[in-house]
Amino acid sequence: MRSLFIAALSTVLVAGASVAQTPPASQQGTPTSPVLPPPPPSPATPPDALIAIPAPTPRPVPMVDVSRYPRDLERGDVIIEYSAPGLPRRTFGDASGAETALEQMTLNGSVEIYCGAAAESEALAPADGKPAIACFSDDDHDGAADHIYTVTNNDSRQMTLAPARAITPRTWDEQPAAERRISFRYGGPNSGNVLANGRMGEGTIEIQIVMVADEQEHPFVSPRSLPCLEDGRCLALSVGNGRNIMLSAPTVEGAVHVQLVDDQEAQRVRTAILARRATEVDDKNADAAAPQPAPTSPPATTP
Amino acid sequence: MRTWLAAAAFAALWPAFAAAQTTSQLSTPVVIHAGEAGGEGVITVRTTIVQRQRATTIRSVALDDAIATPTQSGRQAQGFAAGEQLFGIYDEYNSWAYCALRRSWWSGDTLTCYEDTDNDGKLDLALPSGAPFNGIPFFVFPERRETRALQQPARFHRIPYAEGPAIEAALQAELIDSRRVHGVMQPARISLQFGFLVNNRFVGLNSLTRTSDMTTEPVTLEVDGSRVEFSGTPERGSLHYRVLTPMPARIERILLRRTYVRTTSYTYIPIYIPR
Repeated sequence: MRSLFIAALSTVLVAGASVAQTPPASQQGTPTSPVLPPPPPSPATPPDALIAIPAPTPRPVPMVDVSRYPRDLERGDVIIEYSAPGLPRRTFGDASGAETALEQMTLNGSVEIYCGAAAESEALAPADGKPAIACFSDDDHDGAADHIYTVTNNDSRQMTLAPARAITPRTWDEQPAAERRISFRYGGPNSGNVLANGRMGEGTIEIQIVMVADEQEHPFVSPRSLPCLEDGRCLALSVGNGRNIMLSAPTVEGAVHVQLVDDQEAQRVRTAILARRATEVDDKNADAAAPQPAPTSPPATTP
Repeated sequence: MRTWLAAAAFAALWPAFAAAQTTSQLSTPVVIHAGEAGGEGVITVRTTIVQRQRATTIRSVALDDAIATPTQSGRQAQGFAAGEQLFGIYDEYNSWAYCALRRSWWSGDTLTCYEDTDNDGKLDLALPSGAPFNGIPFFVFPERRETRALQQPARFHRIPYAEGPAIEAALQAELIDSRRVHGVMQPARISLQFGFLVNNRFVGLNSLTRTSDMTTEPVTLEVDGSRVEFSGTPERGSLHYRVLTPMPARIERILLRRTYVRTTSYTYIPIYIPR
């Protein structure tokens, strides 16, 4: 569930489009054209499959403190932070230590279910390690989960579930939504040319989306890759209100410069990156079609 | 980002009831330092190293204080002297571990890594690294199952990454002689593969190989930005190579895949899969 939430958040920031919810009126000038190639399609889903997606939540609010920009970052430093309200939760009263709280999701667009690492019954919960993720519903609304859905596929955007199966009712309790703190952190260089001055030229850098919820011991970390131009400017992150966070001048040893730029500058970099990708595709096609070079006489070998 | 796969698998010796899980993780970035063009020679044996270039991780440090030899038994048999260099690898999303290679009395070369957990400029925690993937020292991950606090934290300082512990990235050419298959004579084949040299042993990355049939016409193969021309009669002692373009100075991350067999605790054993 956390991976679904983070995938949705990163899509909002990096692509600037395809937002699941209508942006509030205060966010003006958010770029609308997609800037990254679309993610690969999910495995083919049967038409009658049950699809669970995260329940709608209020849009996360970025905490943009303009006084913090521009500045230089090292790997692990925070680029920007978000506060995000959590999802409604349920916990089984007889839960074993390995079972997690169940978070609300929406089934086929309308049905309320709760999903997490939990077993059909306390007796079936494994003694060591977390049980598999499953989803539960309380169809008669008596405060006990009475149906279970097995997860058959779980990617970054949705879960595919098997049809519900009735179980012995298992009492659960409502829990307050856990506040989530999400930070985008600089992850260092990924790949690219090394320039003579220790800077990285054309290539990609990594940002880490780090999410921590209350009571959580270890944060959930999801890496993302950002392309960079030869001059060191990298694809910007949109934070709304015509503002974008741009990382630039990444160094081999893991430093980078971060600053706020307007939509026009962000769009210029985005256009240049797309143009470069188009050139790379054209070059590949041209190489594939090029005739073989003419033969030359072999040089004399040195005895 | 280009990903190169270093394959890892288990021998078929594990109990059938054990459940295997495979995970993939990117290595710490490796810097391939600039090389020189113009190297040339003659292929006289089946495999020949045609290009070598220095490789480091993106961060290196040197010890200001010595790290004492541990008194209890364990994988690390020796300490480290002041002035010794360690290479940096990614640990958590926001931390570094610094590692060095030592020969252990019972298991051959092993790595020990250290961390400065409180950011005071002193290494205060030792962690074993686990076996390097395919024996390449930079491809390790710190393990937190056997951490040990240092009784005497050791001061350290960063040094330019280019001056830190290094290994060699290399291009290997392989000449497969012409042979008769089902009565039909097949031409000789020449392949060029990228990899690393570990104790002068070439460890290739299978996904970064280019191959071509070889006749009497020159052939140019390109791997990872490097171009090597092969010319002459495709026989050992007669095939000539010339490095037209070395590998450009680059940062790369290697995708490492490891398989866990879960019994009562997690273990992993990377085994090089022969080509």
